[in-house]
Amino acid sequence: MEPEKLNSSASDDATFDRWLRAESRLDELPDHGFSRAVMQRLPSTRASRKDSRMSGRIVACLTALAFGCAVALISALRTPAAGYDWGTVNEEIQQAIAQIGTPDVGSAIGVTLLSLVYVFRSELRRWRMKIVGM
Amino acid sequence: MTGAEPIARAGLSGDRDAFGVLVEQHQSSVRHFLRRLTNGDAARADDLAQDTFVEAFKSFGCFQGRSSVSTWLLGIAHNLWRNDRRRQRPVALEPGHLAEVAPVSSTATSSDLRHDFEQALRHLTPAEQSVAHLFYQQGLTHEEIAAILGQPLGTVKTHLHRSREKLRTQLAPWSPKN
Repeated sequence: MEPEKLNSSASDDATFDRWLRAESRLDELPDHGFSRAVMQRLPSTRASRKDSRMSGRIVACLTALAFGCAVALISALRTPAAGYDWGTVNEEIQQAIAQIGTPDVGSAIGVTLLSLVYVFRSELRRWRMKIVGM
Repeated sequence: MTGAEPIARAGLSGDRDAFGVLVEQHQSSVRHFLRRLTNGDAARADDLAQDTFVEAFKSFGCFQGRSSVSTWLLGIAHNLWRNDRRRQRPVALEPGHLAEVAPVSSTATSSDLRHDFEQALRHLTPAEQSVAHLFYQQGLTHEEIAAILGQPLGTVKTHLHRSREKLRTQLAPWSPKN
């Protein structure tokens, strides 16, 4: 479909194009309230809707964390051995850390982390875009 | 990637302030393009330009970063204009009739050559006008124009070749070789 003479005088064409581009380039149109009109027409912000969804998820996570801590605290207080000395606590923490390496606990932590990544995937994508300046 | 691209990304991801900057940066090129497409109907062009930015805000998820934000916005503008034209079912204008259409650019009188360029554009077909406008007045590449108009690269080159020949004739007195 291209004309036969498309490349016949390429340098003439390039010179003409350069000249005409330089001479005919448009000036910036004055805004005259155009941008403000656009901003007023935008739907309720996607960001604020996302932020409210984000807040809901964070509240849910914090509620679950508080509930877990409360359950742990209550069960500890009910246990006769609740009066831990710090040496015992330290020892139990080290035992707990050692448990992380076991397949069951390791799998549970892995599933939890993957779940969090899945739930916050859109936010993570946004943060990554801001960080790398894509 | 230009320095404006991060702002564009933030603006397109729903950040209203960043989107405001994006609108200010691109309003001129989008409105110029739509004025060209609407044969100088500034009110209709500005309505379509507003629709363009609103659509961009709503559909940022479709922007995949394969082209510049400017190209993407002009592509949306072109699609909206095409849909609007279908709804309005206008009478097709022949190149000869275009001489009666009001000048497009508000700055046409600022330069005799620009004024003559605007006059010369009216001797082109609508498709050639779009390509010539994007190539000469907006300084875009063949590939960018093809993406905006949704046409094959070869078609864009053909339109540009024909436009160039017509413009060369129309603007002969201004040509640097004369």
